[in-house]
Amino acid sequence: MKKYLKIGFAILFIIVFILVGFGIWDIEETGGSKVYAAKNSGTSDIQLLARAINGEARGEAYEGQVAVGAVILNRVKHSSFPNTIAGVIYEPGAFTAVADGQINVPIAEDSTVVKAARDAMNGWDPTGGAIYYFNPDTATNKWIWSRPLIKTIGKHRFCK
Amino acid sequence: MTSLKNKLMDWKNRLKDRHMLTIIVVLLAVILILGMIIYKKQMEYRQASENSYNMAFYELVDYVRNVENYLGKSLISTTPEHGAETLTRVWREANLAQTYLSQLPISSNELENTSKFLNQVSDYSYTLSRKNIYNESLSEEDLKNLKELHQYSVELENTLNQLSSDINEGRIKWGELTEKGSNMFATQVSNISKDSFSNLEQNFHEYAGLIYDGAYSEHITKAEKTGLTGDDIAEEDAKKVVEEFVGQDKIESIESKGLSENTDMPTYDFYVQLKNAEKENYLVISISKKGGHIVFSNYNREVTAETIDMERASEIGKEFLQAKGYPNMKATYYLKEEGILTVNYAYTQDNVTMYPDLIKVKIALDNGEILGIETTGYLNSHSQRNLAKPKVSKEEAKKTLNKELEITSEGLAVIPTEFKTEILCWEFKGKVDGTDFLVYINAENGREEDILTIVDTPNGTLTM
Repeated sequence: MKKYLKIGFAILFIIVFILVGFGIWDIEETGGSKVYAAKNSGTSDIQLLARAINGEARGEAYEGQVAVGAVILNRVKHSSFPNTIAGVIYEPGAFTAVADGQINVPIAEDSTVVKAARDAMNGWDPTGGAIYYFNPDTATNKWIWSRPLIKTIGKHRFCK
Repeated sequence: MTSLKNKLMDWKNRLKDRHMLTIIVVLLAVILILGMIIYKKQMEYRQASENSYNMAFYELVDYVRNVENYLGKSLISTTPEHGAETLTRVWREANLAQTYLSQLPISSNELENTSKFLNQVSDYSYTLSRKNIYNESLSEEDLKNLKELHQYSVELENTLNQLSSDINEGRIKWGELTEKGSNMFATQVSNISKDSFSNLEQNFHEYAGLIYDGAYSEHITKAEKTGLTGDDIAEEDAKKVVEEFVGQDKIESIESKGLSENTDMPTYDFYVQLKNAEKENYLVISISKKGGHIVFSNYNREVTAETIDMERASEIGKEFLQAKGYPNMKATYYLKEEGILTVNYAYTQDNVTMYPDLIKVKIALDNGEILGIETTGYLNSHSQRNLAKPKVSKEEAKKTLNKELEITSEGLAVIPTEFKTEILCWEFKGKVDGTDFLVYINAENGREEDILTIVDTPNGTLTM
């Protein structure tokens, strides 16, 4: 009898484990969309840009963060890309931070990525007009290596 | 070996037990139900994205058809009024087509030229419609371009129709385009889907792009940089420029990052470790290879106190520019954030404000330190201009203004167009119903070129 009790507990444990696991999966899947909503329309572009920078280049030095913002803005001005900031950022497959939801990580108002986004908006472009960048350690796309390199900032190679 | 056998036997015996069997059946049922829920959810997500891709695609097909249609009409339109109307439609439809094109799950480099085509059609037709509005008729060249664009749009429409039937018959699935092929079979299928989209690009292999008066014209990036004067310099010379610009006494060490190439303004880049600064928090500075000009410098630090007011700070910036060899710079608008004031300075020549010659300066409001400078506007366009005497007098220009406008200041200014040419204008600043406006009247022909709204916020003056 004792033995069955033990097995019973073990199975109960497994079921609870699966349910909890499922629960976590569920939260992750839907939780991302709750942190949108910019303060007002005038700053919403800055906020979006800052979140994109946060998702793409959180670990980079300040210059590397401004650089990512500058690439997004260079694309807005480029004829081969969408003509709005949101259009460029949410273009399918354009940024990994959008695909994996990193862009939805909330950021503080006084975070350095917000400053970096503002500098990029005000015209600071440390990339020399780049429209592509990639991390050579993680890039899987061979095509990206064919783009002419402008310079390397931190972990990213910035290309024309 | 025997112990394993014993264990298996033991297990088998236990399975025979009724309770045990029930428990296992229940467990399997739970797993099955969970699996089904997860699968169903997965399918819902997939369907939702499939739907939005389909919507983007069908919208694209419709808008491209309209572009083709209106471009065709614009070719045979004879009156400027109707021409302007048709071209404005092309502008709108092409712009929307481009928007939906970029929502398809195909990477931008594969549809680069299609996107460029739509952007240029949109932009070009806008430029031509303005021409029509001013009652100028289209030139032979314009008509030739329109004809060529129309031809391309017909091909694009045909390819899209082919794709549309591929989708109808299930040969293309969006899901396959977005998933990275995890096995051989998957990669093969997605290649078929991908190939159909590369046909879109094929249409534009011959498309050379257009040169016209618009933001996406081909000549924009190749424009001569009149402010970028001087001969090429070596890296050591650039380093000396940095030392002088930042100030030898403030520098702890300089790290050279080499020459950046493949850009329209090659630069030598340096990381400067300032004394009293945190380690690894560098001032970044770029010096142009041609002429050794400062292209930008930037330094980020916390600014907690605000002891300097904005007027004083903008004065500090002006003095700084004067000292660094940029005389006659006038503060035009400014923005304060996190204790840092960013001021836009424009060059003035004989009291005429040259808005294309912009330099931006970041000033810390705690001690007046210059945190950054950005001069690309100035380098792109600065020169001593030969300004023609205005054909339209200030009084004549004033007559065209809205009667409600209470003028607070007036003067001459050169403003940039979005295709990098310059227009000499009368600039009138004034108020209507408590809102400040800047109105620009062309000093050559009296046209109203631009109207800007001035937004005064506690954090600065912005123009929109």
